[in-house]
Amino acid sequence: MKKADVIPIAAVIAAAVIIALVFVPKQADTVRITCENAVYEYPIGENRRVELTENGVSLTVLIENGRVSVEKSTCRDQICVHTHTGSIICMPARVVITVEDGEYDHVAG
Amino acid sequence: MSQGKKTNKIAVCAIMCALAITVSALESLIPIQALIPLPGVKLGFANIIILFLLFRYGVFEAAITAFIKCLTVNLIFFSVTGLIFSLTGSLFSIIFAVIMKYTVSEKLSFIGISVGCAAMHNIGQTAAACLVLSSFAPVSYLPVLLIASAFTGFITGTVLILIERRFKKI
Repeated sequence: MKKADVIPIAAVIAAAVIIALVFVPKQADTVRITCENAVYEYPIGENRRVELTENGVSLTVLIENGRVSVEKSTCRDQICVHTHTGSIICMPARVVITVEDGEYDHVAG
Repeated sequence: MSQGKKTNKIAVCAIMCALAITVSALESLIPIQALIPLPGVKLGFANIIILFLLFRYGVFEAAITAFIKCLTVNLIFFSVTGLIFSLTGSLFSIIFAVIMKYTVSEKLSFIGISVGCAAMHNIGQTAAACLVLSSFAPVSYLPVLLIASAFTGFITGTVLILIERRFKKI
Protein backbone atom coordinates (compact mmCIF):
# COMPACT_ATOMS: atom_id res chain seq x y z
CA MET A 1 0.00 0.00 0.00
CA LYS A 2 1.36 3.38 -0.94
CA LYS A 3 0.85 6.74 0.76
CA ALA A 4 -1.30 8.20 -2.00
CA ASP A 5 -3.79 5.34 -1.59
CA VAL A 6 -5.55 7.30 1.12
CA ILE A 7 -6.71 9.79 -1.48
CA PRO A 8 -9.27 7.57 -3.23
CA ILE A 9 -10.33 6.02 0.07
CA ALA A 10 -10.86 9.43 1.69
CA ALA A 11 -12.59 10.73 -1.43
CA VAL A 12 -15.02 7.79 -1.47
CA ILE A 13 -15.86 8.23 2.21
CA ALA A 14 -16.22 11.98 1.81
CA ALA A 15 -18.55 11.46 -1.17
CA ALA A 16 -20.63 9.06 0.93
CA VAL A 17 -20.97 11.62 3.73
CA ILE A 18 -21.83 14.48 1.37
CA ILE A 19 -24.48 12.47 -0.47
CA ALA A 20 -25.99 11.32 2.83
CA LEU A 21 -26.23 14.92 4.01
CA VAL A 22 -27.73 16.21 0.75
CA PHE A 23 -30.37 13.50 0.50
CA VAL A 24 -31.88 14.27 3.89
CA PRO A 25 -35.13 12.48 4.75
CA LYS A 26 -37.91 15.03 4.70
CA GLN A 27 -41.10 15.28 6.65
CA ALA A 28 -42.54 11.85 6.22
CA ASP A 29 -46.19 11.02 6.51
CA THR A 30 -47.14 9.37 3.25
CA VAL A 31 -46.02 6.07 1.89
CA ARG A 32 -45.60 6.41 -1.84
CA ILE A 33 -45.39 3.23 -3.87
CA THR A 34 -44.22 4.01 -7.38
CA CYS A 35 -44.77 1.27 -9.93
CA GLU A 36 -44.14 1.36 -13.63
CA ASN A 37 -47.65 2.45 -14.54
CA ALA A 38 -49.13 3.75 -11.33
CA VAL A 39 -48.37 5.49 -8.08
CA TYR A 40 -50.15 4.57 -4.88
CA GLU A 41 -50.16 6.65 -1.75
CA TYR A 42 -51.19 5.70 1.74
CA PRO A 43 -50.93 7.51 5.06
CA ILE A 44 -48.19 6.06 7.20
CA GLY A 45 -50.35 6.23 10.29
CA GLU A 46 -52.81 3.56 9.14
CA ASN A 47 -51.72 -0.06 9.38
CA ARG A 48 -52.33 -1.92 6.16
CA ARG A 49 -50.96 -4.49 3.77
CA VAL A 50 -50.67 -3.63 0.11
CA GLU A 51 -50.37 -6.49 -2.34
CA LEU A 52 -48.84 -5.74 -5.68
CA THR A 53 -47.85 -7.72 -8.70
CA GLU A 54 -45.50 -5.90 -11.01
CA ASN A 55 -43.42 -7.29 -13.85
CA GLY A 56 -44.10 -10.82 -12.71
CA VAL A 57 -43.02 -10.21 -9.12
CA SER A 58 -45.59 -10.33 -6.31
CA LEU A 59 -44.83 -8.34 -3.24
CA THR A 60 -46.60 -7.47 -0.06
CA VAL A 61 -45.89 -4.05 1.42
CA LEU A 62 -46.59 -3.80 5.11
CA ILE A 63 -47.34 -0.47 6.75
CA GLU A 64 -47.35 -0.96 10.48
CA ASN A 65 -46.67 1.26 13.48
CA GLY A 66 -45.47 4.12 11.32
CA ARG A 67 -42.96 1.99 9.44
CA VAL A 68 -42.92 0.51 5.96
CA SER A 69 -41.40 -2.76 4.95
CA VAL A 70 -41.77 -5.38 2.30
CA GLU A 71 -43.17 -8.38 4.10
CA LYS A 72 -42.56 -10.83 1.31
CA SER A 73 -41.66 -10.87 -2.31
CA THR A 74 -41.22 -13.41 -5.06
CA CYS A 75 -38.15 -11.71 -6.47
CA ARG A 76 -34.85 -13.55 -6.57
CA ASP A 77 -32.56 -11.23 -4.61
CA GLN A 78 -34.91 -10.31 -1.73
CA ILE A 79 -33.05 -7.03 -1.28
CA CYS A 80 -36.40 -5.28 -0.84
CA VAL A 81 -37.37 -7.61 1.99
CA HIS A 82 -34.10 -6.91 3.81
CA THR A 83 -34.12 -3.14 3.41
CA HIS A 84 -35.35 -1.50 6.56
CA THR A 85 -34.30 2.13 6.18
CA GLY A 86 -34.55 4.77 3.53
CA SER A 87 -36.23 4.02 0.24
CA ILE A 88 -37.10 0.44 -0.52
CA ILE A 89 -36.49 -0.54 -4.10
CA CYS A 90 -37.27 -3.77 -5.88
CA MET A 91 -35.51 -3.69 -9.25
CA PRO A 92 -37.03 -6.83 -10.80
CA ALA A 93 -40.46 -5.45 -10.00
CA ARG A 94 -39.49 -1.85 -10.83
CA VAL A 95 -41.12 -0.71 -7.60
CA VAL A 96 -39.91 2.17 -5.44
CA ILE A 97 -41.36 2.67 -1.97
CA THR A 98 -40.64 5.98 -0.28
CA VAL A 99 -42.00 7.82 2.71
CA GLU A 100 -42.57 11.45 1.89
CA ASP A 101 -44.45 14.59 2.47
CA GLY A 102 -47.85 14.10 0.93
CA GLU A 103 -51.41 15.23 1.02
CA TYR A 104 -52.07 13.25 4.15
CA ASP A 105 -51.88 15.45 7.18
CA HIS A 106 -51.44 14.02 10.69
CA VAL A 107 -54.04 16.40 12.02
CA ALA A 108 -56.69 16.39 9.31
CA GLY A 109 -56.04 12.95 7.68
CA MET B 1 4.51 -9.77 -30.57
CA SER B 2 5.84 -13.18 -31.51
CA GLN B 3 3.43 -16.00 -32.23
CA GLY B 4 4.37 -17.79 -29.01
CA LYS B 5 3.68 -14.75 -26.88
CA LYS B 6 0.43 -14.12 -28.72
CA THR B 7 -0.82 -17.63 -28.04
CA ASN B 8 0.29 -17.32 -24.46
CA LYS B 9 -1.71 -14.12 -24.14
CA ILE B 10 -4.85 -15.63 -25.65
CA ALA B 11 -4.57 -18.65 -23.36
CA VAL B 12 -4.11 -16.51 -20.27
CA CYS B 13 -7.04 -14.28 -21.23
CA ALA B 14 -9.29 -17.27 -21.79
CA ILE B 15 -8.40 -18.71 -18.40
CA MET B 16 -8.86 -15.34 -16.74
CA CYS B 17 -12.26 -15.01 -18.39
CA ALA B 18 -13.41 -18.37 -17.07
CA LEU B 19 -11.99 -17.46 -13.67
CA ALA B 20 -13.79 -14.12 -13.61
CA ILE B 21 -17.09 -15.81 -14.39
CA THR B 22 -16.58 -18.51 -11.77
CA VAL B 23 -15.44 -16.14 -9.07
CA SER B 24 -18.33 -13.79 -9.79
CA ALA B 25 -20.90 -16.56 -9.63
CA LEU B 26 -19.38 -18.06 -6.48
CA GLU B 27 -19.12 -14.81 -4.53
CA SER B 28 -22.87 -14.39 -4.73
CA LEU B 29 -23.11 -17.67 -2.83
CA ILE B 30 -20.94 -16.48 0.05
CA PRO B 31 -23.31 -15.38 2.82
CA ILE B 32 -21.72 -12.01 3.58
CA GLN B 33 -25.22 -10.90 4.55
CA ALA B 34 -24.60 -12.78 7.78
CA LEU B 35 -21.49 -10.73 8.58
CA ILE B 36 -22.60 -7.47 7.02
CA PRO B 37 -26.38 -7.05 6.94
CA LEU B 38 -26.32 -4.73 3.96
CA PRO B 39 -28.33 -5.82 0.94
CA GLY B 40 -26.67 -5.35 -2.42
CA VAL B 41 -23.08 -5.36 -1.18
CA LYS B 42 -20.80 -7.58 -3.20
CA LEU B 43 -17.15 -8.50 -2.76
CA GLY B 44 -16.36 -7.80 -6.40
CA PHE B 45 -13.59 -10.35 -6.83
CA ALA B 46 -13.97 -10.23 -10.59
CA ASN B 47 -12.40 -6.80 -10.47
CA ILE B 48 -9.14 -8.42 -9.36
CA ILE B 49 -9.01 -10.27 -12.65
CA ILE B 50 -10.04 -7.32 -14.77
CA LEU B 51 -7.36 -5.11 -13.24
CA PHE B 52 -4.83 -7.90 -13.60
CA LEU B 53 -5.58 -8.08 -17.32
CA LEU B 54 -5.62 -4.31 -17.70
CA PHE B 55 -2.18 -3.84 -16.23
CA ARG B 56 -0.62 -6.91 -17.77
CA TYR B 57 -2.03 -6.69 -21.30
CA GLY B 58 -4.23 -3.69 -21.93
CA VAL B 59 -7.61 -2.06 -22.21
CA PHE B 60 -8.99 -4.35 -24.90
CA GLU B 61 -8.27 -7.56 -23.01
CA ALA B 62 -9.68 -6.19 -19.77
CA ALA B 63 -12.77 -4.74 -21.42
CA ILE B 64 -13.66 -7.81 -23.44
CA THR B 65 -13.22 -10.06 -20.40
CA ALA B 66 -15.45 -7.79 -18.32
CA PHE B 67 -18.06 -7.79 -21.06
CA ILE B 68 -18.06 -11.57 -21.44
CA LYS B 69 -18.16 -11.99 -17.69
CA CYS B 70 -21.22 -9.75 -17.34
CA LEU B 71 -23.04 -11.48 -20.18
CA THR B 72 -22.31 -14.98 -18.97
CA VAL B 73 -22.99 -14.48 -15.26
CA ASN B 74 -26.29 -12.77 -15.94
CA LEU B 75 -27.28 -15.41 -18.46
CA ILE B 76 -26.53 -18.14 -15.94
CA PHE B 77 -28.79 -16.43 -13.46
CA PHE B 78 -31.41 -15.53 -16.09
CA SER B 79 -31.23 -11.88 -15.12
CA VAL B 80 -31.80 -9.26 -17.80
CA THR B 81 -32.17 -6.42 -15.29
CA GLY B 82 -29.00 -7.62 -13.67
CA LEU B 83 -27.24 -7.50 -17.03
CA ILE B 84 -27.98 -3.79 -17.52
CA PHE B 85 -26.63 -2.91 -14.10
CA SER B 86 -23.66 -5.23 -14.37
CA LEU B 87 -22.62 -3.66 -17.67
CA THR B 88 -23.05 -0.09 -16.45
CA GLY B 89 -21.16 -0.76 -13.26
CA SER B 90 -18.34 -2.50 -15.08
CA LEU B 91 -18.18 0.29 -17.66
CA PHE B 92 -17.75 3.00 -15.03
CA SER B 93 -15.24 0.82 -13.21
CA ILE B 94 -13.09 0.15 -16.26
CA ILE B 95 -13.11 3.77 -17.43
CA PHE B 96 -11.86 4.76 -14.00
CA ALA B 97 -9.19 2.03 -14.02
CA VAL B 98 -7.96 3.07 -17.46
CA ILE B 99 -7.74 6.72 -16.41
CA MET B 100 -5.82 5.64 -13.33
CA LYS B 101 -3.49 3.43 -15.33
CA TYR B 102 -2.51 6.19 -17.69
CA THR B 103 -2.16 8.94 -15.12
CA VAL B 104 -1.35 8.11 -11.52
CA SER B 105 -0.43 4.44 -11.41
CA GLU B 106 3.02 5.18 -9.98
CA LYS B 107 1.63 6.85 -6.91
CA LEU B 108 -1.31 4.55 -6.28
CA SER B 109 -1.04 0.88 -5.48
CA PHE B 110 -3.75 -1.55 -6.50
CA ILE B 111 -5.54 -0.86 -3.25
CA GLY B 112 -6.32 2.73 -4.15
CA ILE B 113 -7.32 1.76 -7.67
CA SER B 114 -9.55 -1.10 -6.46
CA VAL B 115 -11.34 1.16 -4.00
CA GLY B 116 -11.99 3.61 -6.80
CA CYS B 117 -13.17 0.83 -9.12
CA ALA B 118 -15.54 -0.53 -6.49
CA ALA B 119 -16.93 2.95 -5.86
CA MET B 120 -17.35 3.64 -9.58
CA HIS B 121 -19.06 0.29 -10.07
CA ASN B 122 -21.63 1.21 -7.41
CA ILE B 123 -22.07 4.71 -8.80
CA GLY B 124 -22.64 3.26 -12.26
CA GLN B 125 -25.25 0.83 -10.98
CA THR B 126 -26.99 3.56 -8.97
CA ALA B 127 -27.06 5.83 -12.01
CA ALA B 128 -28.54 3.04 -14.14
CA ALA B 129 -31.15 2.35 -11.46
CA CYS B 130 -32.10 6.04 -11.35
CA LEU B 131 -32.57 6.07 -15.12
CA VAL B 132 -34.63 2.88 -15.16
CA LEU B 133 -36.85 4.00 -12.29
CA SER B 134 -36.95 7.69 -13.32
CA SER B 135 -36.28 8.54 -9.72
CA PHE B 136 -33.50 9.62 -7.42
CA ALA B 137 -34.49 7.07 -4.80
CA PRO B 138 -31.52 4.73 -5.48
CA VAL B 139 -29.14 7.54 -4.53
CA SER B 140 -30.25 7.27 -0.92
CA TYR B 141 -28.50 3.91 -0.71
CA LEU B 142 -25.33 5.09 -2.39
CA PRO B 143 -23.57 6.39 0.76
CA VAL B 144 -23.84 2.93 2.30
CA LEU B 145 -22.53 1.31 -0.87
CA LEU B 146 -19.64 3.76 -1.05
CA ILE B 147 -18.49 3.05 2.49
CA ALA B 148 -18.71 -0.67 1.68
CA SER B 149 -16.65 0.00 -1.48
CA ALA B 150 -13.83 1.36 0.62
CA PHE B 151 -13.65 -1.96 2.45
CA THR B 152 -14.24 -4.34 -0.45
CA GLY B 153 -11.85 -2.35 -2.62
CA PHE B 154 -9.21 -2.66 0.07
CA ILE B 155 -9.66 -6.42 0.19
CA THR B 156 -9.62 -6.96 -3.58
CA GLY B 157 -6.69 -4.57 -3.97
CA THR B 158 -4.67 -6.48 -1.40
CA VAL B 159 -5.42 -9.81 -3.09
CA LEU B 160 -4.31 -8.37 -6.41
CA ILE B 161 -1.04 -7.12 -4.96
CA LEU B 162 -0.35 -10.60 -3.58
CA ILE B 163 -1.20 -12.21 -6.93
CA GLU B 164 0.97 -9.78 -8.86
CA ARG B 165 3.99 -10.63 -6.75
CA ARG B 166 3.71 -14.28 -7.68
CA PHE B 167 2.99 -13.58 -11.32
CA LYS B 168 6.20 -11.66 -11.88
CA LYS B 169 7.89 -14.82 -13.05
CA ILE B 170 5.32 -15.77 -15.70
